[in-house]
Amino acid sequence: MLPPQRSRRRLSIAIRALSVVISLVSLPVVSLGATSLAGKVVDSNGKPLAQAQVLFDRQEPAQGASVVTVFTDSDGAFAFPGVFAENINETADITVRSLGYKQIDRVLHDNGAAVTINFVVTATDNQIDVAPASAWLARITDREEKSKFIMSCIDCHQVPASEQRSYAASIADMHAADPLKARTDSWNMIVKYMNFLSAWEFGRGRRNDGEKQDTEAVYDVENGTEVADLMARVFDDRLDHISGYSWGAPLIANANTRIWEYEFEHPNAVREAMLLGSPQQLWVADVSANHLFTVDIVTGKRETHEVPTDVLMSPHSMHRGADGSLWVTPLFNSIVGHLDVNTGKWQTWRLRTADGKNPGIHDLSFGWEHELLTDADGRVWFSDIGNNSVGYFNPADGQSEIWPAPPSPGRPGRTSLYGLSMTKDHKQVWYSQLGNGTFGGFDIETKQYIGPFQLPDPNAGPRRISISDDDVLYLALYGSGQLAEFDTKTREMIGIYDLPDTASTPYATTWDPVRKVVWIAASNNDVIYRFDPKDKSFGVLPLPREQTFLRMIDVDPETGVLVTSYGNIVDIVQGPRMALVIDPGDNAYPKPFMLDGSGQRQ
Amino acid sequence: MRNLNTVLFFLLALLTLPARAQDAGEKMLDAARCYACHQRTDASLGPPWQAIAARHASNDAAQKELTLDVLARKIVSGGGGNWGDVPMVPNQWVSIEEARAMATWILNLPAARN
Repeated sequence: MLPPQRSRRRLSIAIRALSVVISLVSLPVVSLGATSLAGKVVDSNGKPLAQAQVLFDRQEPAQGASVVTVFTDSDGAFAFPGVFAENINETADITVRSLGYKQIDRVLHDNGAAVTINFVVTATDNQIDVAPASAWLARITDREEKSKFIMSCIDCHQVPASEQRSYAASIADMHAADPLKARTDSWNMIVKYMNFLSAWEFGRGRRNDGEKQDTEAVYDVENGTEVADLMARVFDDRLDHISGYSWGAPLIANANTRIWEYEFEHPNAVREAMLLGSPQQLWVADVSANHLFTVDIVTGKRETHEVPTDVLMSPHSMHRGADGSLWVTPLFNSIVGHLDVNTGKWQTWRLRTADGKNPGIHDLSFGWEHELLTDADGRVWFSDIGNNSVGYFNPADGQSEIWPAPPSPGRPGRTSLYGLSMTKDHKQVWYSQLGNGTFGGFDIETKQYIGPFQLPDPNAGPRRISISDDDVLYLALYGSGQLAEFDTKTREMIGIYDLPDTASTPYATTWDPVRKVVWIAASNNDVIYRFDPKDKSFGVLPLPREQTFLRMIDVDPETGVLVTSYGNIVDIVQGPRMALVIDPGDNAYPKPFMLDGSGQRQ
Repeated sequence: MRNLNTVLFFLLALLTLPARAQDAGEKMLDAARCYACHQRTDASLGPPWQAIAARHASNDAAQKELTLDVLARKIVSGGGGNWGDVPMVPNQWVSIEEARAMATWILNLPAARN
């Protein structure tokens, strides 16, 4: 069954389109109002519920965001910022979401310009509606086994997301004579199915239109049987009841925390997002195509911007230039794009090294302000995922060179050089290697590698990294569910910390130069973590839905809002296609982010 | 809107051009990655489409309509019961209209030659 909000959206789009077809006139926009929205959340004993999410999933076409979320204060009270342009009545999709609670009643009072909604919730033993996918991985008690499983499966999607849970129910409902065999056979089938999908996704731009995927050619996962055996062992029921999950650290949400989610119509593979330009637009990479989307955060107007290349680029990683321009790197090939977002002028480079290699660019050299840094000669450095190298290209003449990374002793096998950051003096770049739990540095002047340094777990899976204003490196350890803090000056590990949920699969870290904290994008548990280096503490910001497969977080340098996206890369996998803007509500930056619930500037 | 256009195109094609509707069904099977588990004539992870057509062959119009409906819903929702102990995956981005086009193509496949 389709999730209700998506089917409603589809229906609303279909109705809109149908009326266009029939009447050949455009549909009138909903009547303009100016309605404020506030209320209270209490439990069945009348006790206020603090830090609960209240979501307003708006009817299309809506000005501003598709969904606006606020949080309750210690009195259970909530208020959406500003006013909404549309009328809000009993049919409005406004709901409460809080781990361990379910909504049992909602009373709406419409006083014309002010709508009040009071919710009643009740504690529930079954956390299924809010508990994230990672909650089920607590069934894997062996840490090494868990990190290996995560590295095998969660590259592209959450596990076990609602699709896998409903599949587990299908297996259980078969009542096979030999249930273990049925589970093993079924999960083996899923592994092969996912291999096919993976080959299809990563084969984009390489196969001709209408050409069928060769199924036999892609069924070759190294540890597929091991993965299926593990799933048959731990996913041995209908996966429809879960209790005892906790976020594991204090929530950092307050009554001023706001989340604006912007949805993009399927099919697409939304990857990363960033606020750019004046006035600010939300720029979003679609890795399934050769374009980026923009959303006007005030009007909600969407546009598509083709990247002017002759082969499919698949825009993946986004970087802000120091001048506010946009640098885009591809999923796997050698194309780098640069866009002046204010003039619309593109420049692209198809890199080829002097000795004939094609770099597989992943990240460009991020600095401590999470902006692109260049070296003393104006060269842009990159991580080369294809050749396991670091390299540079010169934007002036397109020249490029790469240097293969040194081997990681005792950790043979294939790996890829993934994340990249540049030190404050512009003289070193630091990298992570996804496949072998290793990271290191590269001295730009001497062209010598520094390290390598090994993380304890070979399946630690360091991905996107960031560097602080004090040249401390923060590595998101995808496989082991940890954060590593490494001082590049002394070349010593400061600490490796378990995240509040070690199955959260952190994808990226971002140093916040004003708050002096690290934001961590978790892929498998629908939260953003905040790490404070001063006391090594974590805070949790829950997101308003499931399958929020997070990619990189960018911090808007002016207002400090967080910008990120749900990167459900497999375009036939279920899951939201959204980019989002989050105001943590801490007033940490001098300039406030002024956007009310109608999308209007306050 | 691309998705919707596909559906509208199919509906139009179904009304006016049966041959093109058949092609549309086959194209949708490819776009929805059905070849991950199914082939036209050979068994792979799931049963071959020809075998599905053979099993459900009927000259009764009402029965054909019922089969079409059951198969379309199976394509969207997945589940098991007819072909062993391995359930089919759901395909939740596939609309019921698209699934009916796919099922029509499958059920119209000619029987295997021995």
